[in-house]
Amino acid sequence: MNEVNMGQNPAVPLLVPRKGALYSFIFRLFKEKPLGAVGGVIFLLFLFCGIFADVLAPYGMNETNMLRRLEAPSLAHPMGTDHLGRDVLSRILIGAKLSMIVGFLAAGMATVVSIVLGIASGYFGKRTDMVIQRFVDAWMTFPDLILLIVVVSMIGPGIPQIVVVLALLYGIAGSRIIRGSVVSIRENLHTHAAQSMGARPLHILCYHILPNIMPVVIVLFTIRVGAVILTEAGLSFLGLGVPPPAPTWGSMLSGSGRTYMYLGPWLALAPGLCLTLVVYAINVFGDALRDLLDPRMKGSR
Amino acid sequence: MKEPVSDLSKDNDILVQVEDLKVHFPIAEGVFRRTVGWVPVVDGVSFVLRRGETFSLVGESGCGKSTTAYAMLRMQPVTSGRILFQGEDITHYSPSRMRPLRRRMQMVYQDPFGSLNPRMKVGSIIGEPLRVHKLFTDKAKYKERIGELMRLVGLLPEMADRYPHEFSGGQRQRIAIARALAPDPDLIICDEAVSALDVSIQAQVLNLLMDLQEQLNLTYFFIAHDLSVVRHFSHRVAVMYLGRMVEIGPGNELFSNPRHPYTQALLNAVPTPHPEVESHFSHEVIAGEVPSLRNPPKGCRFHPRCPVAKPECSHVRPEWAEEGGTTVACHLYGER
Repeated sequence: MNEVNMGQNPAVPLLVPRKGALYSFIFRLFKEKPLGAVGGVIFLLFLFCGIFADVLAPYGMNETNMLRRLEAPSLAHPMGTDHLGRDVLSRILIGAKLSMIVGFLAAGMATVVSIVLGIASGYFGKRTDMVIQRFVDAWMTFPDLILLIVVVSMIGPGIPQIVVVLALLYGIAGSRIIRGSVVSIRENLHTHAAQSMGARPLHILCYHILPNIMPVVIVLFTIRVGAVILTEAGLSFLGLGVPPPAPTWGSMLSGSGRTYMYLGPWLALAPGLCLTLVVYAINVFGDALRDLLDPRMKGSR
Repeated sequence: MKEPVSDLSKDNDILVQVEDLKVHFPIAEGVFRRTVGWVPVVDGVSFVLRRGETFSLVGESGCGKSTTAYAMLRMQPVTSGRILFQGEDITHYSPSRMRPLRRRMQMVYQDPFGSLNPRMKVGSIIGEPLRVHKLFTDKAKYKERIGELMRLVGLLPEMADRYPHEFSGGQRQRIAIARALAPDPDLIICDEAVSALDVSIQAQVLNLLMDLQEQLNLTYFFIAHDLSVVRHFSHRVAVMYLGRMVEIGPGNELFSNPRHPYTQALLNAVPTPHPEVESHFSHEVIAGEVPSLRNPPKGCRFHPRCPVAKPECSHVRPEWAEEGGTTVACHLYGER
């Protein structure tokens, strides 16, 4: 589809200046992937809220007001109040911060674990591959939740242990996907060509394997961010997540949200909708990034 | 078994000498991938490449042409035999010892769509061997060299910032050739380098290769199955069947006067580009199927399908014999 396009489109500059690369990228994001751009904007908003949560929150996260319990959304409390009279918006904002920390740290670490294991297994192959894959098999036979419950009940709930356990869980399982694409790229002719010209393994990894697994890595990372936030919510739901009274979206959903669902539906709706929106936004943004970063997709829809 | 050229190691004209090369692939079976046998993909191949010549290897798919080339480059484990590169025995060189030599032997692949990294710009694809072997002193020189190479293969230096998918098959093959030329090699191995291209583009690329050979004194090791391409392009041709060479000789002689029954059959299968002549011409198809390499025929490997096989063909491996201009491994020739 691109073959026809080449050379006949003088409007597209062939040499994109380095300085304007980011601008032209953002321009292309909005022009070619409007949905992805919307996702990106929501994602940035989420980041912004997470970073400046303490400043943005109109009330303290644990500030109670017994006179204004279970109030419906109003100007003073845009998302209403919960059963202890705490402002739901403030708690959502602080929750965004916690979810962001957990989501990005765990998904980032998981991706690194996947890449390291996947490349070790897929590129070096043979015995290394065999050993790593059997280990992954064994690891994957443990149900995720059981492992989490064991760790949390052993060392108690807290952000660091949740992040590490989630990173290992998703990282080791995801290494399979990375391994698969590494194996297929290792067999590509251009990798063979690089070997035949005398390139060292490090050169081949950096210039041939890594750039070509980037689409998989981006998708894996964005799916992971959503999944980790959801898993944390699930853990909080079971009372094993970030310990209360720290407000994570999961604990808000499971705690006051579930108990007072009929009296104050906003208690469940606010964190639930935020969770859905952010996870969806990250996913469409990731898909758009993957497509735009692929040079073959340039100029195509 | 030797190609009948006497002691060559001192000869400066010889770029590569391959002696009795064997590449056997293990057959692994069972849970533990135990080796239960060997497939002799290349089984005793000997030849020499002279500086500045085009040596073509022809034969049907699976006869071991590419494996021979990969083994010659030490990209494929060698079972036995010797490979000499400029008189230097490289058969057992370690990967790190091979590395500096690799810049002098470059490859051009059949598929110009797979052999170029889709995520690299054309400039850095062509410059890759330069970066791998650190063959430039500063950035300006590097850029200049890439531009020079692109002009050499008939591309515009301005195209260096484009990606491979923006080029046609023929242009991509030119990029691959420019990359092969970058480190100033002595030997270029073309593994079916034009088979994937249209006929008109094939001619262009072949002409380009011939011009480059003249300008840069290159040696080509050309793997092909298209005999008409080989005929106009090669100085010497070797015909391979089931892991062994059956005939080696100057291109013209071999094509106009094939000696080995397999070469004759192969040439007989080439269609004539003229419908009237073609309609009167009967292509005799070689009888039977290519035997499995797991259990190759004894003696001459071609004997089960050979129309003129003699009793000894089934158990004695034929020696090389000079016959006219070519050298042939067949019991019909040699001492009678």
